Amino acid sequence: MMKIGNRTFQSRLLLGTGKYPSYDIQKEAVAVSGAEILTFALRRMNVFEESQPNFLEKLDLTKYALLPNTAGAKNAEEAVRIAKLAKASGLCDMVKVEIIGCSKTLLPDPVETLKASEKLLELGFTVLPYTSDDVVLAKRLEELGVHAVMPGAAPIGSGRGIINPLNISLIIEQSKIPVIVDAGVGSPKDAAFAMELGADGVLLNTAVSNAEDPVKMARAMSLAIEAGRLGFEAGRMAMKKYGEASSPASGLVTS
Amino acid sequence: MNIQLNGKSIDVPDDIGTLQDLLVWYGLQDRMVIAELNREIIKKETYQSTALTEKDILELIHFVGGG
Repeated sequence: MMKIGNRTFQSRLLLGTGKYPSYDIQKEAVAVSGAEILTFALRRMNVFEESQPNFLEKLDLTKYALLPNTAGAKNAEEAVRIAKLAKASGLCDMVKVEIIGCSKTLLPDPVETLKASEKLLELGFTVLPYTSDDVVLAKRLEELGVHAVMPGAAPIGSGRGIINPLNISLIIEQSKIPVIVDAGVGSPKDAAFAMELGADGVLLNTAVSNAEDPVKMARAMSLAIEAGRLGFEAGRMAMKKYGEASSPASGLVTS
Repeated sequence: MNIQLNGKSIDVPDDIGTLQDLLVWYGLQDRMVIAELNREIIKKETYQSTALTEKDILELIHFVGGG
């Protein structure tokens, strides 16, 4: 069970809703993923053209918690504006603070993320900042009172997996709030690895939506996250330098 | 009346006086829409009583897929 703010969730997979090949595939992928938290972005409606089907409007909102992001914001002020608009929908009080500081790498701006998180906490939001894997920054965010910290595994949409597992594990070790590894996860192996390090959850989008079979990958991610979590809870064996036989050394049939 | 809607300058017919009228005009009255008028968020309950005036800057926002 994962607790964020005053809500608890059975699933530790947070799923993004962007870039799926079709609505039907997306619907099925979301269903088999078991995810209870879905991320969204806010954009202007295309009021001047025939409207396209909107995934959110077709969703059973009693089953899912919405986690709008502030993607598109370049500074704290813009992020706060987007978060307020999201809350005005009446559909959510959580927000993923996402302030991109570099258009090429899409890495987050730590200074603006900190500022926006502080302001949004003042305004009563449940705040989940997407951050770089900086250990001190994660600490500073926790001290502000954010409800979870979401360090990136690798740049958004890069699918490179956890580039700095040491930093991620140091963040997990120091944090009393949930740590959700967000962005850069490419395969079930990466998701399982994050969970084995002790992460409370994994947020991913492109790894599923850009898979050859997004529905199958959604299921794979769900299983990987569950397996990784169980492995973490079970406590892995110590690593050794040399081999150690699993079969008894005594009573050998051969002399 | 001329207003700016989602970054575009548009001419609105005279019989459209409120935000609700405008949403109906665009067929958006039943859609999940968030309205921001001159940088102020407008609550759904007040769409009917929110008058539009010349040079207003209106943003109609919704949720789209994102990570």
